[in-house]
Amino acid sequence: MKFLLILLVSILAAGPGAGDTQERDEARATFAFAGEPRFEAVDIFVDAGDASLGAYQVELKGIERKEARVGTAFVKIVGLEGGDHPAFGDAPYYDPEALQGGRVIVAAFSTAADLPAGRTRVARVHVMLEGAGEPAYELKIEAAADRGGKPIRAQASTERVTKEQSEGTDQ
Amino acid sequence: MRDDTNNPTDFDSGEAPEALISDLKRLYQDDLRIPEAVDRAILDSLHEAPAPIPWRSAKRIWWTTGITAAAAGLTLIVWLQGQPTPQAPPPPNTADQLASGDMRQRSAFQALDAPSMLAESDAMVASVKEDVDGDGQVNILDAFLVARAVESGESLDPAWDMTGDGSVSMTDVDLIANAAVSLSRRSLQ
Repeated sequence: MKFLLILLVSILAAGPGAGDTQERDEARATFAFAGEPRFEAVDIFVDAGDASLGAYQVELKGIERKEARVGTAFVKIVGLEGGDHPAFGDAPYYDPEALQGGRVIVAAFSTAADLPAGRTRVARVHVMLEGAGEPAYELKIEAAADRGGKPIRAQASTERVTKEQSEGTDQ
Repeated sequence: MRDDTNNPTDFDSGEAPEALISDLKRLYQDDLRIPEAVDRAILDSLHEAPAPIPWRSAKRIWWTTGITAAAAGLTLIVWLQGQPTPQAPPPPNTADQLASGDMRQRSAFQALDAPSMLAESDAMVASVKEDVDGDGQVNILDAFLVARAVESGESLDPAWDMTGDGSVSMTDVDLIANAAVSLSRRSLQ
């Protein structure tokens, strides 16, 4: 009879999905520990070099980075706005489906006479963070063109915006 | 020239050699007899009844079978609890979607996931249209090309009329740009 009892307990303990449940519980515990969700912004910069930037398209991904003893940071995009230069001051094109997700394709063009050259901030992405970990972002430039529509080699980069920077820019 | 020493068989005559005939006769002689004692021993062993299984061994077999069956049943129950619940396919979006086009093809889509499959196929067709510069991908450069043409008053290609209203305007540019940043279309490429 003891043998039967031990067998039953071992089968129930080793049932499938036990690992998944444990991971979910850990994530929930982390979130509960982290308390309220946090917000931050990510600036997107495009460096067109000597050329005038007429159009750009980038893909931004928030990486859910799991850190030991801290937990996973879950990135959710909550809003987008334009950049510094008037040519790209309006909100860029993006898919509204990207909101509440961690991935967005951002694009804009300008037919204005005055276009930026060199490194310029073209957009700001607002994100909500869940969990206690620090997020990471991955940016890939997909297309860029000069004022005549000719494709150019451009570099794209991100910068996390602190609360103070964000308030200073908004004023 | 024939050599009868090396080839003694006379095939032409249709008769086998005498030596072969006598050998074959000796081989097929019916003198294979099983001794009486061997025959009786085989029959006796067949008629013997099998030894009965001891009472304790029988009980052990029943216990082992029962425990194995219970364990198998419990494993099945636990495994079934871990499986995702199957969901019914969503209903089609509109009656028009099912009424138009190839009904046979549409019903096949419906069996899988009709709305998303139809949207995907429509997106694939549309993406070709929005690839204005013909580089094989829809991106912001397509929208930029049309926008510059619209603003400069250049001749406009009727193929750029995305809305189908008979003219090319900034509305068409917006449609191309929205297609360029669409996440659902990107997942198809």
